[in-house]
Amino acid sequence: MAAIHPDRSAAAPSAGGGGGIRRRLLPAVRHEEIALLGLFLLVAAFFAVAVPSARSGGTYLDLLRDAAPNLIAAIGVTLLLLAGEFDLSVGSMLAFTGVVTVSTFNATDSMWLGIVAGLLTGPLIGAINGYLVTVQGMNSLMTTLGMLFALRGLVYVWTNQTPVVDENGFSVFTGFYRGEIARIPLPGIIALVLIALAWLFATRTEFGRNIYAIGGNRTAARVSGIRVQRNTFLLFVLSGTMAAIAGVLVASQTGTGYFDAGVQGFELIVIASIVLGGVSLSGGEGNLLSAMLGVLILGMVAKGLRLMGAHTTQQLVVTGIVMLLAVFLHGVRQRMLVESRRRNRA
Amino acid sequence: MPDSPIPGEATVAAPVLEMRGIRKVFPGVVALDDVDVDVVAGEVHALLGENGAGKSTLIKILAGVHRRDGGTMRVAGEEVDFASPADSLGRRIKVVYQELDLVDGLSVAENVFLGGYPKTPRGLVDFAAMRNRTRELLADLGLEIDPALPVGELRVAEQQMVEIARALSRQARLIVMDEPTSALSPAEVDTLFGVIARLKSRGVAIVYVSHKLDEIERIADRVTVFRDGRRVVTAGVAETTPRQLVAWMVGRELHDLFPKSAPAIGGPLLVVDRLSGSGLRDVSFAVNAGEIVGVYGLMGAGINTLGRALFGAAARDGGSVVLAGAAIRPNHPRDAIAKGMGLLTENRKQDGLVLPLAVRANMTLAALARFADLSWIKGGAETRAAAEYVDRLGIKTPSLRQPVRYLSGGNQQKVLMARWMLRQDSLKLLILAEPTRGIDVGSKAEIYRLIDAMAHRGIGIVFMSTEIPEILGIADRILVMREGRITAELGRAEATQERLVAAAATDDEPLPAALPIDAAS
Repeated sequence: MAAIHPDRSAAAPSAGGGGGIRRRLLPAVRHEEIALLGLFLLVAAFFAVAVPSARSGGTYLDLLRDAAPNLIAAIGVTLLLLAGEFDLSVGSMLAFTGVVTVSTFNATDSMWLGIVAGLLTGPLIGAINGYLVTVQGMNSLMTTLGMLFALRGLVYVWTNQTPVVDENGFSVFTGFYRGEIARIPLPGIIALVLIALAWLFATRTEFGRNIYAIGGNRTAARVSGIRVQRNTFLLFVLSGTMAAIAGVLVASQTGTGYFDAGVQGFELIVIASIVLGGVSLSGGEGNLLSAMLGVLILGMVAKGLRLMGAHTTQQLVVTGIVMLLAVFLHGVRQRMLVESRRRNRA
Repeated sequence: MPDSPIPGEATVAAPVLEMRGIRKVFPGVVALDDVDVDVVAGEVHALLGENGAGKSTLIKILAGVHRRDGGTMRVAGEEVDFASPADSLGRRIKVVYQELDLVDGLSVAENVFLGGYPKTPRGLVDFAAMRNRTRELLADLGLEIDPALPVGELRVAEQQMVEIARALSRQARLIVMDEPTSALSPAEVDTLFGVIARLKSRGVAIVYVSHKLDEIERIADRVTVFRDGRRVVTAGVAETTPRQLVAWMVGRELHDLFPKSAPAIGGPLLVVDRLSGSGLRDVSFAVNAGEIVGVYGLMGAGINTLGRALFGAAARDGGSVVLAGAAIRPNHPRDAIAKGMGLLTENRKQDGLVLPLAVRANMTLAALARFADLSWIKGGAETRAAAEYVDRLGIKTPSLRQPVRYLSGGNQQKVLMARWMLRQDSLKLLILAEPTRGIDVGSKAEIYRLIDAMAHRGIGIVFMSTEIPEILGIADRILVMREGRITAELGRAEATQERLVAAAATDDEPLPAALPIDAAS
């Protein structure tokens, strides 16, 4: 029995019959990113035809600004999901960090102290989530769902359900959100830099590889000497940190800590976008860049509908339908892949 | 014994089952090629063959799980074509798989009548009738199991009987048993064979799938031998010898399978002292450098638990494990690996492989630090090492990036071997739990060769298996376990099949609830 050369392509000749067309699958079937990019362009093209004002390049730069908080929060949630764990607390964290940031502005009259305080809440809450899940062995879905309610309630009680307004009116803070370098919005730049770092982290480092191993088979990872608990804990801290960065950005939109920021299912939209990007809900499978494309697709849908003048309630319907369509197409693609693998298997 | 033939089952002229020229092709593999099998009423017909020879495919076609690609199939003279398991059941064929199709939380009676509960006139489930009928069916088999007990509380042997009772409740005329004894003690095997004799006497045909020659000699009337998807021969069991059967089945002499070379055994390496916990009781033994120590036991005897306990992957409450002078911490596989231990787990898909990950990533999982600078993976070095092992072990994969789930069982097992071989700089002791389970005979021989080669480099090997031939073939010394204890230690020269069986056998009675075979009627 001779080994096939390790780098021969997957389309090796097979003994069995079968048509040649099916074996030469469309690139869109072979590569998730290409399929998602196609979907994104399709959505963008639709709005470009339907809404004249969507045709300018500025729309897409705006999209990058609008989607930045989602993209950044989605980085942490994606990495956790790859390790097989959920983080549903990111929506409430958005509000919590915003309120902490602006309240600290008002209490200390220092912008930097406020930002630092806001950013620090992330790793802190992430560490609590991580401790409960890894050390106490609690289910992450339920743990972070509990955190979702507890944090939201805390924000309501603390703010009395009124927005916390920046009394100093720090213009640097709000200016940052509006700012741009070479026409690219600053929040977008932050998101892109973080995505690039996270992508290198996930694909090129030992820790990143271990994330996939933990999500793909926890027992196998453990008996291969991987520190499953420690790595999972660190990912919760990372996810909290990313959510805090997103929360500070949201607060900088208007210099206000909103008690209901992210209340309309922010965490669910983030997870849905990630799964739309092909990340497996059971962990171990998926690609960070595809997940980010998933976020951008839903972001584009929301933005396009806003430009069309659709009401938020109508947006909800369309977003849901786009999501169902994407999941359906994902299933079709999976079946085609399995089919072609079976044919090629020798 | 009153002969109560199954209703509608008059003396049949035609065979119960006739399969002619059956062919089944999976992508790239001809699983069955022009296979003929016929089974007559009241016969036990054994299907014998190595893993991958085609037995499983044949019974899956019979069960309606796979559709044949060619050939004809007749049941009681009528041509049939099964599109689903329901079609097969409708023709009164019942397959009892190794993984039993029972619902643990439901009672024995509910399982027996699952899918066709008896009803009261008002349309509700008639539990009383169901329990009575179940008790009768089990009594017919010479068994007394409480119909109200949840199936999950029964022993595997009893669960098997529930499956058989279920077959009878559907008036099965053909029962297929897929390796039914793999989890049974010798006493339980006796009970099963008693039940098979009863089924025979009332005209039920049995297809008995096994690779254990002694069982086939005891129970079967005829045997059909498979090799590489073809039928080698069908013969009356009385007219064959075990030697002949092996020759048909393996197609080569057995010593080719075990390339055992003269061992180069060095000094003491592993010392296990009064290890207990997770069902283990006072287990003490030692392994020398370069030595292959086989650990034999029936399923449930604790051999695989022992492997995990040594490695720190199963809880232990007492005793010590010392490898090359360093104590291995309990419950801490990372420590065991750092000190030079490796474990190939018995269930490669459940706790060995990361199925969605690529072949390369699976290989380097335990040795990744070797290819990383401050956590940054040097892709080139990793790829070169993985490619080298793909070549050396003859792993068939279209690419290093292929998710490992798409490889065949034998190739997956080699990927796991490579995972520990990649740590060879620091590897001192490798524990292998059932490393050849479910892989084809060619891959088996290669795995044995790799193990032998590793031992020659001074690595101590602990080889756990429930298969006697391979233990006898590969080990320098054999430990036998029963109920978490070591019951015998035998040198290579003194070990025989009989001695291993005797030391592994549980002394418990036949199924506690079972009546003696003769007392039932």
